[in-house]
Amino acid sequence: MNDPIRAQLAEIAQEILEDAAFVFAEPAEVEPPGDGAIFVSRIHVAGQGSGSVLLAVEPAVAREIAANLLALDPADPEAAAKSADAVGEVLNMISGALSVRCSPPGLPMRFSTPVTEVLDGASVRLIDLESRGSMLTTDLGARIWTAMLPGPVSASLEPRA
Amino acid sequence: MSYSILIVDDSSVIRSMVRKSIDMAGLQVGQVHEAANGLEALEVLAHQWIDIVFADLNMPCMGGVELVEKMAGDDLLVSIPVVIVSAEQNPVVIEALKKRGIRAYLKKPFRPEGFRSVVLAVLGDSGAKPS
Repeated sequence: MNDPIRAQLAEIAQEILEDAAFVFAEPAEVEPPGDGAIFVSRIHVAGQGSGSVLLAVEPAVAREIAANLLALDPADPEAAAKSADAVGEVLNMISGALSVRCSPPGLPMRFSTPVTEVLDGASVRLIDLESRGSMLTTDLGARIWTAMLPGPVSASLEPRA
Repeated sequence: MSYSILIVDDSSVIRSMVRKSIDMAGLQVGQVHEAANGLEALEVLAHQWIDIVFADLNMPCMGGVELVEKMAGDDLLVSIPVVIVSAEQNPVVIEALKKRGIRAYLKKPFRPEGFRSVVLAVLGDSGAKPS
């Protein structure tokens, strides 16, 4: 997983967030995660290389994504309940687009299903998103991180057949 | 005529999005069933009359490709149209699915209007509510 793919990932994430979830974000230098909860979704990738695609968002963004995907008011409790699933689905869409743009001919990337967790800031800081990924900030100032991580991050993330 | 629909996706968000798109598309819908993977879908298909299936590809337990293959090998299920709704964009994969008998492919993210045109192409104008 090299830097051009990381750059493509951030660009695709920006496009999908806007197109699918009406979340408008721009590349930004943002502070590392604080101590608050972060929604972290990961998809294992197999193909030319092996690794994981990651999308991490602050809870406000997760809720906004769920609300917009489901045409709900962000204050609707269902938007909060579906936040993790919605973040995973956005990452799934990002991975599909990444596959088309970055797979070498005849060697398509294969993806696992997304696994989304709510992690505390300390756990997210261990992933070292600053050096491995790209950062975006929404028009409301909430933070989004994308990253390509080498190797599987979790035994539960098996590539699909 | 109203249609009985089966939505197969491991994401409850996508199942809800498909349901809402069906509503917004003005399609004549009777019952809407849901399944979280191919195995659950086959269970529904064994007990319910279904006119059209919307299925994801990448699901745990049994994915969309295997579901399509199982349906193609069953005399009762082979004629049910399957529309794949997936983030997969690899043209080789999509072409292989069309050869396996899927009726249409809808890329995520999708819009209700795109959804409507695909469904009407599969069901014909009889799928639309009279205006």
